[in-house]
Amino acid sequence: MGKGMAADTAKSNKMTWILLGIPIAAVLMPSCLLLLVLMMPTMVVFVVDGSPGRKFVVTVGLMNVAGAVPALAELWSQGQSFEAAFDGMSNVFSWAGALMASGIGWLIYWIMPPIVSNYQGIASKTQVLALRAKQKKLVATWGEEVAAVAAQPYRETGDEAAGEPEEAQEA
Amino acid sequence: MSAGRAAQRGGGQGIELSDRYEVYADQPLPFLNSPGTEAVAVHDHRNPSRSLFALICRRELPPRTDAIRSLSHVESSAFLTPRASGVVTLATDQSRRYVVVFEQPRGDRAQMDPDTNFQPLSEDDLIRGVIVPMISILREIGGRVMAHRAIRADNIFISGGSNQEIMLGECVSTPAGYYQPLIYEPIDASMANPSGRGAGYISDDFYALGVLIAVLTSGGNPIPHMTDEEVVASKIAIGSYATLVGQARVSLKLMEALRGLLCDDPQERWGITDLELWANGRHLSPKQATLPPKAARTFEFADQEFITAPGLSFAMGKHWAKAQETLRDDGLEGWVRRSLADEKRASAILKASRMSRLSGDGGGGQDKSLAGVLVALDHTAPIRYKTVAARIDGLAQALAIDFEREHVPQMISEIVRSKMHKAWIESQPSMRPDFVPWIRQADTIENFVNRGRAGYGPERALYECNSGWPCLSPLLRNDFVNEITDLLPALERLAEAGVPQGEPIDRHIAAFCGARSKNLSERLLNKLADPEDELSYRIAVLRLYAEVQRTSGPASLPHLTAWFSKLLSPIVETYHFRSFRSQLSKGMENAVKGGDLAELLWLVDNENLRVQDENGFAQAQHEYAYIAGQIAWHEEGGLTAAARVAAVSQRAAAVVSAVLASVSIAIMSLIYVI
Repeated sequence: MGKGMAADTAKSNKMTWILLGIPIAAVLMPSCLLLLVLMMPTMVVFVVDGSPGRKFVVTVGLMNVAGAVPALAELWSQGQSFEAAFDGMSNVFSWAGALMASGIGWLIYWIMPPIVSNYQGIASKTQVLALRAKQKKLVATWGEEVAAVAAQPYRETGDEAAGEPEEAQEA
Repeated sequence: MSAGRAAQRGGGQGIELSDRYEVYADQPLPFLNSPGTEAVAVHDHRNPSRSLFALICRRELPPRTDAIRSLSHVESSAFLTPRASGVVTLATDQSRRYVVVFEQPRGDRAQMDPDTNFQPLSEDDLIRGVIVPMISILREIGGRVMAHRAIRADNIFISGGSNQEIMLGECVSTPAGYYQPLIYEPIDASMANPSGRGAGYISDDFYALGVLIAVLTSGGNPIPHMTDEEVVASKIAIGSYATLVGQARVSLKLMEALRGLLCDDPQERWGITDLELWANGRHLSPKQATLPPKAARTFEFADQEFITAPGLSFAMGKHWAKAQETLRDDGLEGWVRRSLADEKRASAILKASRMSRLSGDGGGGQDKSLAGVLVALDHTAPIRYKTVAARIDGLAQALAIDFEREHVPQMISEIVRSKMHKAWIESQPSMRPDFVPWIRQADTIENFVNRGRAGYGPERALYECNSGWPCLSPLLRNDFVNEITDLLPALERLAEAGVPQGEPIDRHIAAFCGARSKNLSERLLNKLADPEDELSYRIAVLRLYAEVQRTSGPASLPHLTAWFSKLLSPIVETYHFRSFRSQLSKGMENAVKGGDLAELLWLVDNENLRVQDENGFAQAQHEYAYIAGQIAWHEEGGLTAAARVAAVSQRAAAVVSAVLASVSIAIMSLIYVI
């Protein structure tokens, strides 16, 4: 697929969302207004996060949505009027819920790297042990001379694409 | 033939032969010894009253196995017929020796040894007691197209009493004519070395009978004062009859027979018909061989004066170095041309002399030229070349007997390569049909001596041209192997005594296999020639022996297989795959237990297994290298790199957040609904 075709597809997807969103926004205007206001923390993160894939935005945004759900529920229980929407915007609990949930999202995003780093370290050591055991087995099966060979440079993405070598046959 | 088996009988230790005879090697009978052999007592299980003896033969001078087979059917009271033969294991040194069993002859030897004197036989005793029985024996032997070649006074047994009977002794325990005293041999055979006398012809036996008559009438050697060289020189100069009988007092009747039998021309010599006619009272006038023409003046050589060309030829053959000096000028050619007036012979000598001078001192050219000159001087003489002197029918036997003597195989190979045998045949007045097999034999020698590879060479020529000759391999020095069926059992016995360190083959055994194993592919021998390495050579040997085992047996050779297994054990180490190694070791053990050389060969020379091993090993090495790369990547922090950790943790955070949000929304929805 050419670059031009991909850009066209993305453009048409955007248009689909806009075309779907306009009637929904028109019908659910109070809800949309309330949500727009309560989703302010996510918008801030959207501005701050420049990473590819915008995983920070996703993390905070999802929790932000969860935090805004009680205010939305309240709005829908009061008939989804503009008045109720403004009540919700001015309700401190609605804000507290949205902000706390966003904060939890933020927290998740910031505590994850050390956890992952530790986990990867342990996984790496375990894999090295497993690989050494495999090498020992090869030496036991084929003799010391099987090790008289230079290590083959490992490139994660390239090798994953090429696939691992087949198991040496044990005729 | 049966293997010897020790058995006790009486005080001695007997060795069973052919399931019928028991050979007592510790009970010698020296009075029955034949030259080169040892006589011992023998017991016949089926007929214990028979007095038997056996001659224990030597591997270096082996028995005439063809003659044993042929003469074992002769039923004559006047001939020592071989009753049985085979190989037995001597208890003293565990060596395996060929023995020939005979009935013990009645009476004593006519002459205890060639130098002793005895009471001469009367003419009547001689004709009735010796010549008449000898006629029937020679008829029997001649009918088998062979020659006895051991007719001599010390090989004649005469029983006493009024009815004197003779028995002709054996002739099979050593090569034909080898131990025959020189006076009993015709001129050409006596000029040859004992090893080069060849199987000979029946005419040689008639000549020996003539000499025997002369010896028996004179009560010993009629010319004891002469050396061997003088005897030959005299026979050449004045003829055999004049030399051996001379002025001795012999009756006219005997003189007639002596003249006929001692005729130096084999074509004119008496044969069986003449002798029978003579014995029946017919008077024949035997033709005398014409003596060689005498020269007008003598030729001086080695401080002696020669007047005939054959006499000079004999002397030159005996004094090789001096003879070469004689060729340095044209004196000899001039003597032959002017004094003997023989243009043809002179031209041949001139040509040879010039060739000799052109070839200089090295390269053997002078020797070859001299050999040509000797033939030109005396075409009846044997082929002489340096120290080799052999009749044309004795070349192969000379090669066999003198194989271990320094330079003899090389000299014989030079004889055939230089076509001296063909030159000798061309020098004969006429082509005789009996030359044909000897030409073929010389061609066979030539064909093989030129090829230096194992399985060929002079060894192969030896076994191709001497059908019953035992294998002279040093490995088999304590054994007697003259048939291919005996080879592997002999090697099995050798291995049984303790697996030797070296290879189970040498040039002799390879040549023996090539010559005696029918339908053996030459490819198997060729593989011995160019081995890539020691193990390839051993596999080639194993392949050869596996084929011999397949065609000639025996089915099981556990000790020989163990010998090969030991030699080939490094092959196991050449396999990488440990499972193959253990399978191979186990398979080799099983092959050793079964004694199957072919099975062992299949294991050690399995191309499929080798390819599988190589491919598998290459794959294993590739895998090892790949894993090593992975380990290095991990150790260099491939999985804990900051960028990787950041990417993974971002994804993880998004997932955790999604799950948490979903759960929260679900719970809140439930609360509102309830």
